[in-house]
Amino acid sequence: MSLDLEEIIDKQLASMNLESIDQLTDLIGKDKIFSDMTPGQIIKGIINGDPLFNFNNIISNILNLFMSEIYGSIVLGVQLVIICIIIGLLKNLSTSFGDDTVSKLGTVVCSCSVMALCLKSFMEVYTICMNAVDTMSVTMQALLPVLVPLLISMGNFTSGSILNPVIVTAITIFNSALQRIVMPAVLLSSIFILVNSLSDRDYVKKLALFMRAFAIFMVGLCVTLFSGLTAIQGIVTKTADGMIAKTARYSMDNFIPIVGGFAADSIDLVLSCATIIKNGIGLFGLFIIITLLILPLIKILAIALVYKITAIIIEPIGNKTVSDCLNEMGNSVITLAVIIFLAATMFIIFLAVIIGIGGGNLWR
Amino acid sequence: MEIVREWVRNIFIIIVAISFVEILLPSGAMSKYLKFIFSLIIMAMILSPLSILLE
Repeated sequence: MSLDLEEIIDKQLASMNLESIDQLTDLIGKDKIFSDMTPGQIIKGIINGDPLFNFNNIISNILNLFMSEIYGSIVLGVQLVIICIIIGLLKNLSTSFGDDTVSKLGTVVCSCSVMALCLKSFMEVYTICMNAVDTMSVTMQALLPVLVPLLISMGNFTSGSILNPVIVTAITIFNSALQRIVMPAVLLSSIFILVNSLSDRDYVKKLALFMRAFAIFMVGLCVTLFSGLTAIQGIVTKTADGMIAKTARYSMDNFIPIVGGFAADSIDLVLSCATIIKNGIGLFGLFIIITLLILPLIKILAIALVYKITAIIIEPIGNKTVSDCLNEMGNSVITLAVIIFLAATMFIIFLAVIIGIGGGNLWR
Repeated sequence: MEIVREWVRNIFIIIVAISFVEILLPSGAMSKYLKFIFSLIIMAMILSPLSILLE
């Protein structure tokens, strides 16, 4: 065996079209959590047995990001607290105005400004979520055309030809379901929650909570359905692939005289190199998906934390409706975080199914 | 989608308007009944998509 393992891998990498994947690294942007990951580096790391992560680095990066996001959104919290202090003052001054109406009107106007502030920051979070889901599905659609030919080149004909359309369909349906139904439902529910805070009575609170629960239910259903279907499909096609691959190797070993055995062995080597490349690219995809998940997740959770803390601060000042409304807004923002987390989980399951197929034990 | 947007906008405007009007109402014997009528209006607003479904 004159060929070295790394030589084979280098040749195979050079023959592949990795431009679309290289473009993905630009997509992550400057504030990376995993520093300088490329498919080639990951593959070499796998061969040499190097550790993939530097945990101290990652944790400190995440902490820094979280703190900077908190600092960024603390202005919102301060504004909300100031408005609520004014509301409390107005309530106490109501006797000195003589008439109740003036102070009540002032309170409603202040609630309106709270509503406007909350809606503005919620729209920011909403666009962040939309973009996150969009970029994640674009990433998946860029990874699949690279991963699936690798699967087929390893002899997993059935898996490659069946899984590709299944996963692409699942991603497309999931993406449009999120953008057309689920995310708007959360937005509408938070609009209802805000408008409910204008008066002391609850007009549309139940409706808002129902819409949010419906959104979560829809996402859960989609994720369970698609990831379950893909996983089962992966198991079934894996067995079929094993049959085909074993037949091919057996016939090469036995029907070609003398050199057949060597040929079968060297095919083994080339194929296991393809496996390493596929797993390396799959891992790279996982890193990208996780990075795309973590950046918006940190932003969203920071804003949710600001909402919750503001609700805690203004509760003793004495306005129950505004405090409740901010608390529910925090819950809405957390719901958005949960939705993108579930979406990322589904994409990670897809990648794991692809990485899991032909894990190297087919040909032994 | 257009219908849903219009529905939500209507509910939003009606609730904002009613919460202002309720404050400006003169406090008399009639105010209770007026508030009840306002809530009936909001209920009708929430149920308005049903009329499209029934057609």
